[in-house]
Order: sequence, then structure tokens, then C-alpha cells
Amino acid sequence: MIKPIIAIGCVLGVLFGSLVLLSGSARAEQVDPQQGSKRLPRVYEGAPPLIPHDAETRKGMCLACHEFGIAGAPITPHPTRNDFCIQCHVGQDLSVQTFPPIPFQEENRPK
Amino acid sequence: MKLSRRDLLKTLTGAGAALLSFPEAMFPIPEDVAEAAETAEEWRKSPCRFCGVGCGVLVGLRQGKVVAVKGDPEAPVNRGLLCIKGYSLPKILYGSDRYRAPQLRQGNKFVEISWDQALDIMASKFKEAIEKHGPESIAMYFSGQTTIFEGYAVNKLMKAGIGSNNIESNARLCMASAVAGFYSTFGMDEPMGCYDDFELTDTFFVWGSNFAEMHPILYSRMVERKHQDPNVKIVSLQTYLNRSTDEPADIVAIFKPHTDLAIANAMAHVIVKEGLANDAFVQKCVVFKKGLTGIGYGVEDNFEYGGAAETNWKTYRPFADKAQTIDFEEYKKFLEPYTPEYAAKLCGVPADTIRQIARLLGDPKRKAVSCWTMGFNQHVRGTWINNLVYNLHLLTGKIAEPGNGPLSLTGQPSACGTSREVGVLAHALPGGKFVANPEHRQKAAHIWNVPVEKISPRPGYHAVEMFRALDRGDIKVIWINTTNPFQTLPNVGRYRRGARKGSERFVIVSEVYPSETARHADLILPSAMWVEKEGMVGNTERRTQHWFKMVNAPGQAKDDLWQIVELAKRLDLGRLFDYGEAPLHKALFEEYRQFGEGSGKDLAPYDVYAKVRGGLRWPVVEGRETRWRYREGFDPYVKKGDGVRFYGQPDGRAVIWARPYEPPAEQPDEQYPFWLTTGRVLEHWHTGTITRRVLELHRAVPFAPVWINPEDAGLLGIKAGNRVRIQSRRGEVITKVQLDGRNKVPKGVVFVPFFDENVLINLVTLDAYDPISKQPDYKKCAVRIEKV
Ligand code: SF4
Repeated sequence: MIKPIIAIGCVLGVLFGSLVLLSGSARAEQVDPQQGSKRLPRVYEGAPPLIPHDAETRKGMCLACHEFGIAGAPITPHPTRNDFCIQCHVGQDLSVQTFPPIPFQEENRPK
Repeated sequence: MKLSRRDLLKTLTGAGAALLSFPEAMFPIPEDVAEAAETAEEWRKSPCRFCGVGCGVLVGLRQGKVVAVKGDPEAPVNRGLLCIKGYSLPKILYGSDRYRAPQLRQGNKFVEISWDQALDIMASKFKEAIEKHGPESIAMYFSGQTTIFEGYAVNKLMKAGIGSNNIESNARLCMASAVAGFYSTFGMDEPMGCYDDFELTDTFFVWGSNFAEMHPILYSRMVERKHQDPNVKIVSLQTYLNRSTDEPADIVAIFKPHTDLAIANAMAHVIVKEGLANDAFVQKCVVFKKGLTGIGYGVEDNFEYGGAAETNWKTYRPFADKAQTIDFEEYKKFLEPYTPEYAAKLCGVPADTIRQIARLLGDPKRKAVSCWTMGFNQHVRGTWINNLVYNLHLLTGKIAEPGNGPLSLTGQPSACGTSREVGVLAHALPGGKFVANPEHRQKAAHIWNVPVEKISPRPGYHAVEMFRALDRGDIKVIWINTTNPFQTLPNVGRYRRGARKGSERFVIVSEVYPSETARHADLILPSAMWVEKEGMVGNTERRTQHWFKMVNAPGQAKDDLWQIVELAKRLDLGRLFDYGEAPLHKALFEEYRQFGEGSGKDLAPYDVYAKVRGGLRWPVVEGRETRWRYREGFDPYVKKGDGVRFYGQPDGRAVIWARPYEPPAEQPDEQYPFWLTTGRVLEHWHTGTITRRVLELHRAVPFAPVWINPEDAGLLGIKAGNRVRIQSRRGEVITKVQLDGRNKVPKGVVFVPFFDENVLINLVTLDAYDPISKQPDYKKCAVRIEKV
């Protein structure tokens, strides 16, 4: 019963593992992400890890890699459901700088 | 309440435990989060700052700073889980550009001034306007994120002190139709059921609500329920594909904007035709009514629903409608034309799918929970569509019992607790009372210890009209607090210009970070936020939660309650908040409690909320919270032998309303061929004023794109990532195109989130509103798209 699931998981895992390696493809260009580092800083120590690859289009597939650590993916300590991982774990576009870009004091006021 | 690290993992004992009964834990707490941040010295309870789900968090403190949070494992709402906004809470206080001192506009610049100067200026502007133009020339615009203490204080200051009802909450933009729906159907506001229904039902109907993103923790409760029981079905009715139509949904119906009115009536048609109605329940608990039709859209200034005679100030009733009682047979006749085939033609959902959904809801062997948010509420017929979904639950009797019931979801953390329950609205008084009702005014005057003549019977300007009045010059001085209207009002261009028209206008803004609204201010007051002050809020399921002040606000930033009281003192109204030696927060709450006592809105004493982790659901009678209202055995207000009694209505019967389909205010045409619909994303809270300052959230969604259907894009020669202009009759914005990802829009529809101040989509939206609830419709107007 468990075995076919693992087998399917592996196949999917390899598929999506290669997608991880290929991130920066046309898909990712939609939001111009600049990704790479596998260990992103977190909101605070102990906060949920952030996702260093495109997550939008792989929603619902997280466990394919992260259940057993396929293609070097970190293994999740709570392999519960695919459907709401992205409530806590979100993608990151590392090219984006702190907001707001201009200190408010120097900004133009409305006329 | 203080919790040491060790206490934290112990189970809740004492006062709280006796009062609460939790549903079974349905999802595990992520371990790495439970072990979070060893560095914290102390943990204390608070609700999350952000959404109306009302998750409980434990706040980790070290050396006077918030260093970590974790989902409170004892909180019945979230049982230890949070969404990424919740996990970002430690950072929200510490953005580099927090306001630290009051600032006064001088020409195009702001200069720092002292609090004394700021408050003196503010008070003198108030006095001047009141003297020259009367109390109705000033306005307060607060928020569904305002705490109960602040909301109660400002409401009292305005209605019992200044003597004007020009006080509104931004909840008018998000909840007013839900409120009007509740009053017209049940005679009383707020849901009868609660989140416990999520674990007890087996069929979910999600209407016009991407709640996977906007109410994430509730969504995970629903999905978890489905995974535990394969018999559970989820129906998702939306105007575009989004995370709430993903995998766990069994039936997805994508309908054309605004046609939900026809779908709901068609479902009622099927239920009645196929004998799925619960006749015994209908006979005992329901009356049928029809109201006015062709009620307009409120796009003109000073628009009055039902004609001026009906709603002139003297005779104003909160939701005036020329209601006529009809019988079941007449209602059936009304439903006759709403065949699934007719609805299908309007909405684009196949007739068989409509039938299938109606049968699921009507199936006597299944339970049913319906959830909705802004798709229903931000709707020029918002009250009607709320009525229509109640019709379905009333026809089938699936209401007000465990696992059965409609649950109107709330967006803001205290839209219910403050705006609705405290009545921070132009027509309301605390505890579900109304300014137009002489008895209610009498009661308020008694509690407030002011002459009854002080309280004006005239409802003030509702939100949209308030800013129209500012533009016209009828409002001179406005205090905007904890909200960002110059980004969020529909057709915001007019209101932004209006704010800066000068002459005697003076705009005061209490804020924590620079925002579009602060940029339009004359005076900016730096506020404390979240655990920098003591607070209380109320969530979707009538749950009231309390937290204490834990850290200091930066610089000279001050609690909004302090600001309200200081203003009152300078207006010679300090006596309204003079409780002698008693602590102010407690005194305010104990006074406020008197409004609801004995009327089905009973709240527990202040001290109970201060202690209980996760809060309590009102009515709290004799120390017990209420999970299902209107049902004997659950609701202390329903007498033995009554079974079900909708006691908000004099006859104890809820109303099934015959509400027809009527077209929206604006529809796509040749010139403007696309529907524009707006909304949010999970990572950002409303206008992003807070969340965009958390780098991780900003990096997750750095800007607001426009989602376009790939086929439409193809026809326009547009590719993903291209920049396009989105233009309506009112204004335009430019942003980048996205074709898929978290949303996929059908042909003819585009979607733009409103959090991005650089993509001010509300320059484009239309300020049409529901004439009954006065809530604007942000979900539909006509636009054209061109590549730039
Ligand atoms: S679901 Fe809402 S209340 Fe819960 S953590 Fe997220 S934003 Fe906060």
C-alpha cells in the first residue's frame, strides 16, 4: 500500500527536483525572482523556513520532494498535507530590497 | 497574565478551562516552531494583529522587545498554527520608518512638533469647525482594527460629547452588507454558528471568498476535515480560479461577476421543486417577505435609498426597506423563472452543476456550512446576496445547530468586536443599538450620564459619503485612525484630491508607518500598535480576546486611546473618561458591557477576558460562552420547549427574502471590455502598510501584478511580465502582467490586488455601493487593457 505511493513520490520528486535546478526559467520570470541560496534567513530564529525556489506553480506538490528529501530538498518535520504548506512557507525574490526604497522624509508630498 | 517557558507547555487550568470546550485538535503544531526562539525570556498571550480569523499567539519577549511568536497551542481557533503573517508579527513593530513624533504639514514638508502642540492644534481645529459650521462639520474615520477600548471611547466622545454621528469605521467597506444581511433576515447581527462547525459538518459551500489566502488557518481546518473524512465535500463558487478552488475542492463553479444572485435563487428553485425544503422548519421558524426593487447604486452624491421621503433624517431606520409579507406560494412563484437553465445563461455555470450543488445543500442526510466574504459583501446588492444564502439554509432548516449554518467570514481582527458590536458606525450605538431609536438613545444617555438630547437621532455620513462630503467641503476636519482610505476608497482619485483642496479642510491621521493617507494629512500622529498597548478585539465567531501591553512604543508614539482621551480633555469633555481611581481600560469595558447585557449580547467581565487564553464567544451568560445561537440547549436565550427561536425578530421567525437578480452598476462594453475585480494576497495585510515592511513578506509578493487570461493576453499581444495600462472611466494604473500562478482568471476578467501603493488600483474602481448597506462594490467595474 505504502510502496506505490513512495514510487510515485520518487518519480514526481525527480521531476520537480529538476525543476528546482532549472529555476530561473521562463516561468520564474513573471515576478523576476533572483534565487539561489538554499538557506534563506527566516523572519526570526524558529520561524518557518522560506522557500528558495518558485513555489507558486508547484503548490500542492510540496511533499513530492519534501517528504523524503528528494533531490536534496529539506525533509519536512511535519509531513501532513500538501494543500496548505504555502500558508507558512513562502517564496522569496532576493533581488527585492527593503520597503520602502526611499526614506519617507525625502519623498515628494502630494501637491 | 505572565507565562514562563515552563508554564507554556502545561495545559490550561483554572478559570479558563471550566469555561471552554474545544473541538478536537485537528492539525499538528509544527515542532520547529514550538521550539522557537529559545532566546525569549517570557511568553505572553495575545491574538494575532492581522485578520478576522483571530488566531491566538504567544509573544516571546526579551529585554523589552518582541523577539518571537508561536501559535498558542491552547487557542481554540488555531491550536498552535499560524500563517506567515502571524509568524511575521515580531518584525512588524520594528520597521525603520516607524513614526516616532507628531508631524505637522508645512507646505510640501512635514515638521516634527511636540504632542502638546499637536493636540492643541487638533483641538483648536475641532473647536473652530464646531463653532463655525456645527458638530456635523467634523468626522472620525476609524477601523475594524481599532480595539474595543478605543472604539468605545471614540464613539462615546463623538456621540455623547461632540454630538455628531459622523463617525464611521472602515468596516463599512468590508462588513456592512453582512450586517445588513443579518439584520434584515434575523433582526440581529453576527453569525449564529462558529468555527466548531468546521469539524462537525460534511459539506462546505465557499462563495466569493478566496479564503485559502485570506483566512488561511480556517481554510486549513476545512481541508483537514476533508482529509479525515472522505465523505466531506467542498463546493467552491468563485469568479476566478484561485487557491480556494485547488485540489481539496470537489466542485468548482466559476461564475460571471454579479450573477451569484441568480445562482442562489436557482438553488432555492431546485430545493423547492425537488422537495428538499424542510417544511416543518419553514412553517415554524420562517416568514416570507419581499422588498423594494430597482434600488439604484449610490454613485451620485447624497444618494438616498428608497427615495428621500423614506430615509429622511427624521424617519431614518437603519435599513429602510418597504417590506411586504408574502406566503410560501408567492415565494415559489417568485422562484419560478430562476430555473438552473436561466441562471446558467447568466452565470456561465452549467445548469447541471447548479442542480448538483443545490442537491448537495438540500440533501437531508448531509450537513451544510456556507462561508463567504468580500465577493458577497462588496457587491451593489450585497445585502440581497447575504439574504439569499440565508434563504438556502432556512429553506432546508440547516442552521443554528452543530455542523449546520451559514458563517459570514470577517476580514479584520475586530470588525465584529469593535465596529459592529461597539457600533463605531454612523447609524449605531454600542451593543447592537441605533441612534434613530429613541429607546436606544435613552439607554445610551443613561449609561453615558449625558442628557438624551445630546445624542443626535440623525445617522451621520456613511464612509463613502463622508469622503464625498470632505471633497465637497461639508466636512472640515477629519480624524483618520488605523486605516488607509486614500488607498482603499473606491474611485480614490476624487477623495485624494478632495482631501487636499485646502480652504478650511484639516486632515488628521494617526498612523504607525508612512501610508498614502499619511501623505495626504495635515497632521500625523504617531501611534502605538498591537502589543505596545493593551487591547481587546472580537473575531468572526463572536470571540472576544484580550491582551496586555508588553513593550513600549518607539519614540513618542502613543496609544490611540490616550490620543482620544487627550483630545477629549482639550475639548472640555474630559469628564466622559473620568473614572476616578479605576484603571481606564477596565472601566471603559465594564461600562460598555452594560449596553449588551440582557439583550443577547452579554459579555463576560473584563477580568475574565484578561485571564482566558483564546477568548470567549458571546453571549457569555453565567460564565458560559455560546457556540450556537437561537437553538435550545445551546443558547441561554432560547427557552425550554422553543426549539429554534430567532429572537432578534419580534415574532421569533427569520425572514426568507424574495430578492431578484438585478444588473450591476457598470458592465464591460466595447470601450471597456474587461471586468476588473480586486482583492488581497495571503502575504500582505490590506494596504501593506505593515506587512511590506517585513522583508520576507515583501520579497514573497513585492508588487501587485494584474492577472489576465492567457487567451485575452494573446489577443492583445501581451506576454507575462509585460507592462500594461489598466484604465477605467475614472483612472488608470500601470503594472506587470501575470498569466497564472496563484490565480487564473477566466476570459474577460482581470484581477489586481490592492495592497500596492505604487499600483493604486482604486484609482480605477467605481464608487458604487449597496444602497441598503452602503458598502462599495470593489469586485466589478469595466476596464480596458493596453500594452505600454
Ligand atoms: S490566519 Fe489571520 S489571525 Fe491567523 S495568523 Fe494568519 S493573519 Fe493572523
